[in-house]
Amino acid sequence: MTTVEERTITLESARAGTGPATWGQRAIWGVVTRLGDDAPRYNLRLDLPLNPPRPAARVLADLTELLRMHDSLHTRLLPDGADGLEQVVDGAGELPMAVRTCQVEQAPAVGAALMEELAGRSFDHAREWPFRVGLVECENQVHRLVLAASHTAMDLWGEGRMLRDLELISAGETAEALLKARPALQPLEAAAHQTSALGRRKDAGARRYWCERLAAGPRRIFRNPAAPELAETEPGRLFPNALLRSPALAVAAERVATELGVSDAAVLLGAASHQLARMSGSSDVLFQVVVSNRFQPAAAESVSTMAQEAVFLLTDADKDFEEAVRRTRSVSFSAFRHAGYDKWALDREVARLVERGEAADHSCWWNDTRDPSDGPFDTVEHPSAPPRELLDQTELTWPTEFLPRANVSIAVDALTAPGALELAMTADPAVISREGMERFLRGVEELVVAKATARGEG
Amino acid sequence: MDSSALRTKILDLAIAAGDGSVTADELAGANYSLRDVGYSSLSYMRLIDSIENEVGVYLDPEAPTEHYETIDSVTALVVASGIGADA
Repeated sequence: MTTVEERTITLESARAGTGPATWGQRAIWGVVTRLGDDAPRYNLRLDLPLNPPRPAARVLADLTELLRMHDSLHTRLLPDGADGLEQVVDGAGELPMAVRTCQVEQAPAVGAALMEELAGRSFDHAREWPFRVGLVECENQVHRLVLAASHTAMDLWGEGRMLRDLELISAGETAEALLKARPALQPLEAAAHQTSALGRRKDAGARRYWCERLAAGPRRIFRNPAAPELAETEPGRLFPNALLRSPALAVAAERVATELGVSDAAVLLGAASHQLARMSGSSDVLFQVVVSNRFQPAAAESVSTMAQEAVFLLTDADKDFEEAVRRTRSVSFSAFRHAGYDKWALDREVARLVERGEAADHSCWWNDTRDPSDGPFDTVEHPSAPPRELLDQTELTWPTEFLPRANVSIAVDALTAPGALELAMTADPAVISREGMERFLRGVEELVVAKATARGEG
Repeated sequence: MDSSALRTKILDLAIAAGDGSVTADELAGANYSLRDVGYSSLSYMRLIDSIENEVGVYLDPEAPTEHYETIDSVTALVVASGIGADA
């Protein structure tokens, strides 16, 4: 039998203040507010088994310390006029904590249900903190910690930082000591920079860069879409999701990166651009690339949501793969330098370009989610076989289908897996068929493996 | 800032942007070649960002790669991009 109880985490004397919302907060708040009842799909979810189990009082103390460390977890967002959004960092308050008590063997199922309960409903950003906590207790010990966060509080990178900090706190560290050793940029500090003269100049520069690239890019990338009639006849069509899991690509990407003197991120994006150009019929390709915006050390320690989209335009991407990769490096630098901006202002400018028919097709997305400090061969042995011989270990699966996504032709994520690199692709069937998706993913893999083989004689 | 002070500033920023991956001794041993010490893409991003924040000069990330190969070439690029040696 499961019993239900509610306790509270009490925060006192934490940092507090009020200021304009950051670019990241504004961008995500705008999205989730527009989504309404569908907003919970943007919530971040963590259902963590505790090994060994811990007393509830210890877990509660750890979470209080975590709140003291990261302001974004106790920040509310309030609309301020037509174009304003204010962040209010509360220095004190109470966070409800849902507690479920059950038998040990029931803990995973109870945790999953609690996760759905916490993350399955929208946050009221004006009234509540963007963070929900649940515990699954068995025999007077917490067996599972369930955390749900609004995307306005953190992005995926921030989630990783929060988890790391929670583990350090659980091991005995304090927020004060951790912040002293590794200062983390807090949202009010970020907003102060963004509203300074330098920040405003960067914002204007980034939006100018975006609009220039959009004006210069191809109006249409997929010249021969797979089933264009579906856009009209099946507005509710599901978008297939394919997952390529490739040890060969993991080995080959690092080898090509070393040989060309670029990052493996440039190798993958360059390969995706080259393959897209070859398949689509458009020599120039444009991706919206998700950028973590954590180049400075204090930003890298931040939990707050900072990731935004960069516009990446690669001309003549179909001509030569190696050249495409080399240019990807420098074009990425420029694009990433212009990935911090006021999204609301940019959206207005892009809408004007679209209205005038002057905007490039910006429906292709690239998100390299990999953490550079977390490699595919950190926990498994690096294969001694050359990439070509690893190709028979590649797996292509179709894990799910998604509801239609606005302005998405293809969206590709690069992920790290133990001993492999994964490419997850979601695509509009009106634009590209399942066969086309497989050809794209295997084409990216083959490009990188072939280059690694040619250079490494392997 | 004279050219020597500017170069020292760029060197300090480059080491800081390396975030522990490169030391002053290593750079000196490599004749101040960022390429030879394996300066990462992330470090370059940080360096360009730091130069804009602290020197007030915006560097074009798409400038030819040779401009980013050494401390001296980066310093020269900063001068060419807007800061005079006596600025």
